[in-house]
Amino acid sequence: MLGGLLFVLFVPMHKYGEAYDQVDFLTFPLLVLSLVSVLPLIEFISFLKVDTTGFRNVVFALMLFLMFLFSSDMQPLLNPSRNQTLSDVSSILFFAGFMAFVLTAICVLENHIGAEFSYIRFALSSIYAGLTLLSFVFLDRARIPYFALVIFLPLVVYLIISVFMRGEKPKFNTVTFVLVGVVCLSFGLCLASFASKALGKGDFGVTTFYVLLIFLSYMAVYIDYIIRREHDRYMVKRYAKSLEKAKSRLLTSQMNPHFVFNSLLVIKDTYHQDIAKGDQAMDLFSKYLRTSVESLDKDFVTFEDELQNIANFIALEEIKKGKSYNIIYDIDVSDFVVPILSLETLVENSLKYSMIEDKEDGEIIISTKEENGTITITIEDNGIGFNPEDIKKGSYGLKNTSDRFHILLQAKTEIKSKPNEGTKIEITFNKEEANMERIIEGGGFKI
Amino acid sequence: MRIIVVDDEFQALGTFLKEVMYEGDVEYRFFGDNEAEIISYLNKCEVDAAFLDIRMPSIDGVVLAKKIIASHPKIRIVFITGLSTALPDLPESLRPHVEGFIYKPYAKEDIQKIFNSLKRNHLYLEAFTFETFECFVNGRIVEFSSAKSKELFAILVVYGGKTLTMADAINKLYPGKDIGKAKILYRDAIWRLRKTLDGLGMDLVEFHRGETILKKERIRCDYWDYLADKNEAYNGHFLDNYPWSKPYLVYLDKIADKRKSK
Repeated sequence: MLGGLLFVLFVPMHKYGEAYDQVDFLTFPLLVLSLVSVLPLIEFISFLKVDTTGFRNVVFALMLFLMFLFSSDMQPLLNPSRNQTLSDVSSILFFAGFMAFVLTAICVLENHIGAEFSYIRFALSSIYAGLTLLSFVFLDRARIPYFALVIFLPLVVYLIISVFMRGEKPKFNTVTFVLVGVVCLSFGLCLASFASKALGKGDFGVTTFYVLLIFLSYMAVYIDYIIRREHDRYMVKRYAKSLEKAKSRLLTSQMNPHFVFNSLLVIKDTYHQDIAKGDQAMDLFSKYLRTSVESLDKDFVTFEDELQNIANFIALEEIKKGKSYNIIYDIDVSDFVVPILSLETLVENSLKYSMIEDKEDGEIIISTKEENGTITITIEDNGIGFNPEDIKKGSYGLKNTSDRFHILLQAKTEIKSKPNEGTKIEITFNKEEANMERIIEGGGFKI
Repeated sequence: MRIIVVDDEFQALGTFLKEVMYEGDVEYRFFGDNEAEIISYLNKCEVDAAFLDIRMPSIDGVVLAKKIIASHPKIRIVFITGLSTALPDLPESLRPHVEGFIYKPYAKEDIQKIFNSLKRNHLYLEAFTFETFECFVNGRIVEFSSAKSKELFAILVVYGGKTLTMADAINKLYPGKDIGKAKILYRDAIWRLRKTLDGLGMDLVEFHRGETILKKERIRCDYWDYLADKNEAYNGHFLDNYPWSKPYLVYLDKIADKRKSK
């Protein structure tokens, strides 16, 4: 689309400049019509696939399509003999389509900025649309430049402002930026022609080509915006769903009855043997429960707190099993956040399956490294390992954790395991993502 | 130090009371959730810290804390709670006044940590180096989370404020070990030492990348005093279970001989 625009922009102007009346009246309307007819299609697909709130956008695009279908530009196609003059029926349809288009557009834009529907704004918009319509009737019926100018300028301004007014980071990329520039340039030319005509100094000859240019640019900006927004919306929805699932799975695994009642029994027994030790076991278990409950409405913890969760879990296991585990903390950086109970789950898994306690030099090494703003967390054991092909079936916790890391921090998880040599889990992510402030944000995921 | 404790359920405070009594120099007073009584007591007596439950039948602990702070801004607030409330959940104006949280059911270490940090301006760590190495805070022995982190702290104490580099520490702690593995173990010891000191609520060591420095202000050590000729505690034993202490032993013997001949 950008290539097409550049082509149009650099076509020698004098060839077409004076040729308003000689331009092929079939090519231009057909081109625009095809573009306009694609819009409802895109919106309809997005409506079906992504989000039912996109329904108004479907109407919006449909109205635009109808309006153009009955505009004077289409007359040479629909009614070759009458050239550019509208029949009465077409006029009514065109005006109705135009009115509906403007009103729907306003609604859609309100939807974009997430604003409450306001009757005052709606009334003002209707008056605006009415005035535009009147100016059409009294000034010149078939001049598309006016039409483009009067409708689209406020719309684009509204669109851009709405993006900024929402306090979001501007999501315009270079392509969009260039396109907006082209749009502004085209507007300047349109305005010049409009002014020259209004001042009675003759027509500066804004051609249908320029109109096409404007239209293409609008389309590009619009489609770019739509695609980005729909993509974001889609991702948010998908992530929210899978995060919810991951969290409930986490809670189920943390609170599994076997673990809970087993722990309670061990605590009871420990109290019978040694009150101080019983206290210790009780404290550890209650910390474990507290963290599990917190995981319900918290997405992140600081890495240091997560290490504390790990230490608590291991101390509890040591009391329960009457064994001691060798955990080595090789910590280079710690000022970042991780999903709550994520590393704990990994260490829990490692304790469960690696059998390091049967080995004399069995150990788990937890290490962090930072390189060029990328953090790598490694959890490595020298236990019995497993066949990597069994991961999918076997360890639910592993999959769940790597999912949460991916959703919350866009992290990559790599698992290397060899039977009888041990297992190494490596998680890498951008430090910016795991900014300490994300705890205060109250968690959630960002796009 | 004088504290008040506000909780509507006294039965829940057994462990807490035991720990408070252990502190010895802490004067305490318990209150139910009677706001008027609390405020009038605060107006009469100077109180250092208020331990508040958050969820009580007739008052909200956070609201009470705000009221206390409004009239007595110097009082430190500690919340004792069964909820998962943390600092970010509190109103911003209150946060600087909060010393910490004790979550129910609490461990005695949680309470000790809070008392240590309340008293941090007149709290010392005492390090004993003759014979074996032990540290005490407030009369209680410091439990290090690993033997190597304790040994690392001993090196720092012997260095007495001089910079300890990673290479130096590795030479002493893991002589003859593969360097890659030794580095990992060194960082493990550093991390565990940090956690132990954090748990005490005392800021005693500056940790930098590859370097550590002891902050001497809050530490008393028999070895330092001996060198400064303030005591005669040396009895021919120095950090007995650490092999790297041998050269120091020679040095200490020399000093002892010199002092004797005087």
